[in-house]
Amino acid sequence: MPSPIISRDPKTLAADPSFLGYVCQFIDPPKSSGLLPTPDWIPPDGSRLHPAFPTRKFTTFAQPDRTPITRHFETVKKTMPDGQDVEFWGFFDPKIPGNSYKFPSDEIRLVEGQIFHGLLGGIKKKAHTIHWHGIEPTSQNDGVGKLSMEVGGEYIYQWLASAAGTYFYHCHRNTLLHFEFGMYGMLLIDPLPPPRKDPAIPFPPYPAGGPGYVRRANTVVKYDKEAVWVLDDVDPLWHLLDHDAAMSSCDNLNLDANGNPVGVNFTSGGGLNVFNPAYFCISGVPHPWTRNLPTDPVNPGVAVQVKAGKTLLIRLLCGAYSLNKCVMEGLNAEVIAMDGRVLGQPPFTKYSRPFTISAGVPFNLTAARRFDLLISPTAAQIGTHRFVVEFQHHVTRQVMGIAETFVNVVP
Amino acid sequence: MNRREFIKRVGIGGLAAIALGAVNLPPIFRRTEALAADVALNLEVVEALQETVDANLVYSWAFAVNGQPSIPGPVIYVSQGDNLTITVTNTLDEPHGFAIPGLLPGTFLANTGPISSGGSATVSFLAPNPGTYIYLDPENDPVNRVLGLHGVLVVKPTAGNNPYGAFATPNVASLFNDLGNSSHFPGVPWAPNGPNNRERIWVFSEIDPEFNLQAQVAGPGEIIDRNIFQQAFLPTYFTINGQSGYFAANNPDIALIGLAGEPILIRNVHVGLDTHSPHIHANHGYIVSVDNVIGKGDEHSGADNIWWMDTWTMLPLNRKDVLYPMMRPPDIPPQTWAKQIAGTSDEGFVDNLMHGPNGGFPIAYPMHSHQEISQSANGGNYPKGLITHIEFHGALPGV
Repeated sequence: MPSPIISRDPKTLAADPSFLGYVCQFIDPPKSSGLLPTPDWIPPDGSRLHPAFPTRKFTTFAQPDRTPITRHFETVKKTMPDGQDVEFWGFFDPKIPGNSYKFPSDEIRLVEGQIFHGLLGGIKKKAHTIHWHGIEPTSQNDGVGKLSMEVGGEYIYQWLASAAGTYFYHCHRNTLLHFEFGMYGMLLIDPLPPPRKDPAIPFPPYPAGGPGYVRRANTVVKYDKEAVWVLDDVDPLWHLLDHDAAMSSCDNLNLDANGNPVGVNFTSGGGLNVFNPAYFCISGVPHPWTRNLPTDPVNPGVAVQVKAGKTLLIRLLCGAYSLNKCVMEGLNAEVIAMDGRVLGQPPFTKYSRPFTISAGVPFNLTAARRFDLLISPTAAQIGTHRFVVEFQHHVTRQVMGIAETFVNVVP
Repeated sequence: MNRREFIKRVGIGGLAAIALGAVNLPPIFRRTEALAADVALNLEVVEALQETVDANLVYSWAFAVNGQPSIPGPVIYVSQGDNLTITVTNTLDEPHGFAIPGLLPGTFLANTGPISSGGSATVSFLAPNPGTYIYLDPENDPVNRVLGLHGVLVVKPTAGNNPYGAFATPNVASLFNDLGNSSHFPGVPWAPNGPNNRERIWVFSEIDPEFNLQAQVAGPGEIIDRNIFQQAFLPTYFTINGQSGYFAANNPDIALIGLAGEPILIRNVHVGLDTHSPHIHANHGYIVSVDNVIGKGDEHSGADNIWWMDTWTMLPLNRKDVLYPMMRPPDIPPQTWAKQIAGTSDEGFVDNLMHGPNGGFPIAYPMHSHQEISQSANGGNYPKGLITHIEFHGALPGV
């Protein structure tokens, strides 16, 4: 006597093709062709700060307004330290003269309170989306294809940059594959400077690499150097796959004369649950080249140099499917924000406060988590300090590889 | 006789629940509740067939009440201090047991010890401090647990305006008191057993059908090697409360459904072997309890430090209680939100499930593990894994 089965039982549904079509529709959202209109379009007003946002307006910006910020799809082959070429996918802004796609995708920097317009276009085949991770807009502007639409033509995403912090953007179609293909970039929202701004620091958005200002609890503090480190693991076999690899045939749904789906099948043995990374990257640079300074003429790395007595801001993102065990050797790091939310900023985070991770003590990050770390090295700490990440297998927790780089404290 | 001819299929409609003693059951469970007359419960360890998202039937082990197996087992709701008596009967070939892990790894709040085939054992214990606990079969760890022998014990406080009563830390108590009572949280106050569906339980797990098959064909006395299991386990289906993909996303016991201004407590537990990184869209969530330590961020952050995160880590056997404020998504421009509330929004897709042609609500978002391998089923079929929905069906006045 079988147990009672409720109406959502898939076996029951299998006898009802119209319902299976419903299930398929769930993963086969409409795709745009041409430019989709952005609902409730808010034209850029010159100040680029939303009038409803409760902060003071100012009109001086260091960079010209490029609204909308544009992202086109592109691919690139990157040669890894063992000589193998690996294909990456991502976004770049074709409006910047001489720009080309590099893994990871171009950094986007905004000002807190700004209305953001981001145009996605240049899709070469099928469709992509952009999800602005940590940003919380309407569903249509959230970039989750199956809950709104996928972009085959062009669409301008619109939202309010309400909270300064560290975010990222990525494609949210066949996400497990497209995210592994490297379809992500950083999205940083800068706070306005304090009333008595250091004249040496331009108005926001602040220059990549520093100097600038960042929120700490209920204040805005200055940093001199900035490092943005994205941890990622790369399985080269995945990078040989096709756009829609292992998606069920629901995704390319065929309809019969009555509009009912035909040929509905699930994929089996697609292998996208087998992940064996061979390269371990920080911000697109594979280990061991990560150890070099960005100025290295042969293999630019991600090591950072900071003077004793100055302040270093590290924005750390885990873009890996592995568990990342991180250690900052020789330097204490104060966690001032996570996931784009400042610790100890009333009213929403008055229930928390910044805290310090002591030098040499490990901390874990998993996919999509962000820590903003402030480090203020003293003269006694002049020297080279290692930052090392263990990439632990997501099931067995065995260490599959490491990526390391350095904070060089100089006089 | 081959008893496997009589294997029952697991009811997959969501979590069944049992309230023991005087505790009030959250309303979401009231259609399936089985109110007990006293604080005693009988569980059976049985075999069952679990149906996957792509309609495969997988042999599993399950806890059953009154002959009805479920994966996860029934949620056991009790009040703090209740005296619980649980009798477990093992109907299978190999030893099984029932235990509740304690605050420290390797410790138990209760443990029957191994129960041999055909045998029974009883544990009696006082319900611990309010919070979210896992019960499981600790034998041949982690094999029996992962093959289906797991469930959740929820301990409710006897009083107070938060899930922990007098045990809440100052910041946790303040957060729950601020709901509906502060300018930053307009909407309704927290109501532990109020009229709305304000709690969810998310039990994360995975299935590797190869090992389920091994369990099915094993003869008496044959035991799956726990070390091989841990090293060779290949997660193939990723589940929340036993369901995946479409079925988890549209299950009202799993999805967060409500009005803006109606906060929801999500009791996350992880009984599988994978590393998960649940990412929630539309709002950040407050991590109010970690492994029954109320107000804990992590081992670095000091006591009573409540993180506000869009993605949190779930390792095997983790318990994390997350308050989802269900506030107006903060990056919607105010004029767009005004049109949303007025029902004059231009957004939405009439040919998409989650959007009606009503010029406004519902608007829907996903929650999914950002360890994106978890979004596959049987090696592909994105997004048919560990995912559910967040649906705003409207907004309370002033939100």
